Amino acid sequence: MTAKAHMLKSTVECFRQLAADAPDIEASLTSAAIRQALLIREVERTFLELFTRGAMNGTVHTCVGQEFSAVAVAGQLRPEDWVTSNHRCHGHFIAKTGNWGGLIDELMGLKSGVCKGVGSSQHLFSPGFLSNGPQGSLLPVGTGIALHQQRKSTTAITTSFIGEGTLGEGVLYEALNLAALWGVPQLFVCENNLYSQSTHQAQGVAGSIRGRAEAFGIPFFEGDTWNTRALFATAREAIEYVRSERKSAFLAIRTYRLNPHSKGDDDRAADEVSFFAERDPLSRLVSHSSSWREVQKEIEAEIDAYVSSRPKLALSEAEYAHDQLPRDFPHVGAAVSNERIRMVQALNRAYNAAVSNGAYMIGEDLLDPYGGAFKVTKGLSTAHPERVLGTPISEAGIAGVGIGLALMGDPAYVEIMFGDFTTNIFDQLISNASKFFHMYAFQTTVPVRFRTPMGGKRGYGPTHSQSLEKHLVGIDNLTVVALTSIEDPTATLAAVDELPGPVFIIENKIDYGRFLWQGDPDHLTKKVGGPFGTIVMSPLRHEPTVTVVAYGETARDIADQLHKIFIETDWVVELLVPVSLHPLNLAPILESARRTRRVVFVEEGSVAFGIGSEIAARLAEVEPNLTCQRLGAAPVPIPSVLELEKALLPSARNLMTFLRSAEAAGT
Amino acid sequence: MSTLRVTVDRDNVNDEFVVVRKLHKRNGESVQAEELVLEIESSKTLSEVYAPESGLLRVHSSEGDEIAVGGLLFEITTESPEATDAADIVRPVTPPSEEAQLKASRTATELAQRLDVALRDIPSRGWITSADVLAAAKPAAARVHGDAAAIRDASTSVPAHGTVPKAPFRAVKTSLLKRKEARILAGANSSGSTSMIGTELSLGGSARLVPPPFLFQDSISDLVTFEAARLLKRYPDLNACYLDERTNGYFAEVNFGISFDAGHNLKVLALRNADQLSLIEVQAGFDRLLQLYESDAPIADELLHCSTVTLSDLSRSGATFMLPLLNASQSLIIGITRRDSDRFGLHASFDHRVSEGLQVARFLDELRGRLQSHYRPAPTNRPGALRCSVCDQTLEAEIETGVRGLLRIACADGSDGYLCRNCFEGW
Repeated sequence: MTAKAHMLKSTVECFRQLAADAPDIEASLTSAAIRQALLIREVERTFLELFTRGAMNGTVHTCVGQEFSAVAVAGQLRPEDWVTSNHRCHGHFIAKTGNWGGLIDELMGLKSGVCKGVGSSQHLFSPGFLSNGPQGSLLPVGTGIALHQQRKSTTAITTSFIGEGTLGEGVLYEALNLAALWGVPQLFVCENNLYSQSTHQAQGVAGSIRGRAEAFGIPFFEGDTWNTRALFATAREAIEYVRSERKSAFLAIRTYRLNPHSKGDDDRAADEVSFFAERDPLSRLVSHSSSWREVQKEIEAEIDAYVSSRPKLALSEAEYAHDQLPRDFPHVGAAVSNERIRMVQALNRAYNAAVSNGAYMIGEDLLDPYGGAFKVTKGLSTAHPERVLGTPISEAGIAGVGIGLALMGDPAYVEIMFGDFTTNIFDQLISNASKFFHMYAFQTTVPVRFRTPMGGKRGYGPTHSQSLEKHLVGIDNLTVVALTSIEDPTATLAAVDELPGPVFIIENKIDYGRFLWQGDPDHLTKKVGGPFGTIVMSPLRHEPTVTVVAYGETARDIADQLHKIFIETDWVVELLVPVSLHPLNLAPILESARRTRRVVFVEEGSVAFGIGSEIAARLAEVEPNLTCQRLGAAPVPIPSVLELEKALLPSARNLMTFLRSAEAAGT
Repeated sequence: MSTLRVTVDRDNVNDEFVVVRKLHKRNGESVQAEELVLEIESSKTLSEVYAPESGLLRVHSSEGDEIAVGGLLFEITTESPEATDAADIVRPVTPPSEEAQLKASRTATELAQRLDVALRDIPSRGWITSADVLAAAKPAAARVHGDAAAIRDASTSVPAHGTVPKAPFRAVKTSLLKRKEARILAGANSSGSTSMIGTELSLGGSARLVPPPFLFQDSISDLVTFEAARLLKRYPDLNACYLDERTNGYFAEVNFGISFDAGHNLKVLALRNADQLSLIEVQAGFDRLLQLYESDAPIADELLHCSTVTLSDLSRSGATFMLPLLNASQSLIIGITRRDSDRFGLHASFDHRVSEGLQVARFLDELRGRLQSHYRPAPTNRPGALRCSVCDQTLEAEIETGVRGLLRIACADGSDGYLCRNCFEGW
């Protein structure tokens, strides 16, 4: 036998041993606990039946065989506690909230469901409970919730359920590290049922589970769902530890699921499954106790009666399809006039105000005296030590923490040190921040703000110079704002601070050092459309002959050289600078384009499928026969060689070259 | 703030649109009530449009633009002091102070030098583009609409029927009246809008003041070319072409196309800039072109395709009447026939969409007058003036010797002649 097969065999052997020696549960547990486990089982069975009948759609991951894990842990929590769970969450949900009726409605797609039918099986929310599909995704969110509890409560805790398969996801270790480092009351519960979908634990998990917890200095507890008395005691012990010590703990529970991963996908050895089925404590109880059989029938009848009584009301498109983006651009305008301070100073002041208002600011190397990689947060940690947190290098982890804090009502700013590292937080952005508002049927709002400096022109090379906004605009419910030194960001950031939903703030490394725009005698600079609107720089000495749309640092570069652009290229530019990229205020761009009939879009990233393409498409929908051209970075990773980098990235200089050739293309 | 919209009234039931002919004020200027803003042309008339109120003018049309009836001509806005509406943050239209420098783009500066335009003379708010320079450089007589490219040496508009004249030309919009006329003609004449007017040149036996080279012994092609080329400068409609329903192209040069036809090989070769050649140069040019035609050498594309007007000389063919066909991208062709030794026919076929009959008639009349000026006055037909070229005997002397005269003989070419009875040799 190979070492691997040996390991496989020995793991199963261990489980078999536990199951074989299992004592009778009636003696070990309270009837309430048993009843709850039966209820969970019956609800799961009902779901499978409804699926077979075609009365349910989507998918379902039943926890039949694992019920006691849910009852032992979630069933022993308090209402003020929070739970994060995964795809196999029904047991946890019923044990924590007791709302089995709302769960059934949810899976039946009814408006009376827990999430109005939007989330269904895997995406549940109720105060004190949330679940999401992707493995491990909610773990750092749980850490954020626990952090909130650490600050605001002396007793509440957060419990995060994972499977042994989740031990493969990196974000788990970020969460463990953060939880242990910060000492937050987060209980990690790993339900080890030997199989992740079709993969045996021995093929997915190296080393030991205990070793993982101990690596982070987290106390390790373990139990199994056959020795139920010991399990309930251990669970209580772990919960009490976390609750009183206000520190993290790890509880590993061995168990076995009797049903397939979802429906029908089961390649496990039939004799193995039947072995555990025969020794399942709940089945054994029901089979030899007529009174418990009665209870089971009662529960079954109650559920059946409930199912058939539900009014079939579903959510409508009009009720669902709206979001939290600030799409209202009021028809007002104001001249732009700035103090003579640097952009970084203005940002520092604005973020200081936000933190003073109660927001968190978390990120790497934020603490004084360092004050952040670009010094944007200098002084903040001294002024507000309880809310400005320096973190380890865990972008996904701190993104999740920010989301968790925001979910609890604490607005949170999360700094990603370089825009390039935004790649690490895509799952948190797309699976969590973007989705909670809708997925949980408008029961939540997540005022989290991610901020990062994008942009090159410093020779930092391919992974420290990128502008990735193209990949962020259009993410559901995420407002994307690009700040520019043409305008003091204070008003925009004050408005960001008021937004209920998630926001992504793009700053720029080069722009940090610039003095705010001080005006230009040949142009009128005004901002229209409110704080998320558009800066308009209109030429005073001539009718504009071309509309240029740009944002961020390049917009400032162009603004500084409008006169030179005119002299060198003969084009008179009207410069439009949208501050919010998504949602985007089209009206002033349209107005300018209607006059000049020619628009050049300048974006920091490459033009393919980018910002310019979107605006051009929106213009084409309402105004035909415009000449539209896009200018951006060359579609290759940004080189470090300074002159080459300058040639490949958009700038006023490149715009001039571009406009000179446009002239030859025919006016 | 209030905005007053001034639109095109339907005062003429036949028109669907009007053409902006002249702008008297510019976009962004302030106007007074009753001040003349612009002139518009309909198919009937040219009208003036005044500002109904004082205020700030917003006009986005250019000269030559067509505006539909009911469409917007311009707007007058009156500003209120507490404007907060975004649209009200209007650019102040004050021109730069005297100390503020005029700034011209690089290309504008070069262009101004090339076209000899002073930047100070160009109306502006401070910045001057090359389009501004071009607009200021236009000759007053020309009514070129907006497009600076029309002045450069390139044909930019493609006529609706697909042929593009190769000679440099300037596109000019035709008046509404003329367009209407063209439509009417096209409707009635399925063979096109070509018409022909002819006239007769009587030489009355006189000879040229300056004896021509052999090639032109009994031809007037050189004279016609020489005189017509010059005359065309005063009849630009005849040195032009129809481009499309709305545009004619006026040629910058007069390139006379001479038809050469030795049977089955008709070619029209151009005598370039014929209006600038002396008669001797015209004659030499003909000679050169004839040699080129008769040789087998390939002929430069330029000579074949850049004619702006054509000449077809059939005076040696015996034809007394012809209806020459217009060449594509031209509006005039002159045909020459010969009635007899004394009389030539001049036949001008022309494009009625570009010019009209009276104009062509006048042209021919003037041309005839000029041609006649090349001939010595016709001798008076007094018999006494006849003198024998051999024996010098005059008819008067003959009559004095008795009532005799000259013998009438039939000449070899069938015409009548007189033989001296004295010497039987000369007449």
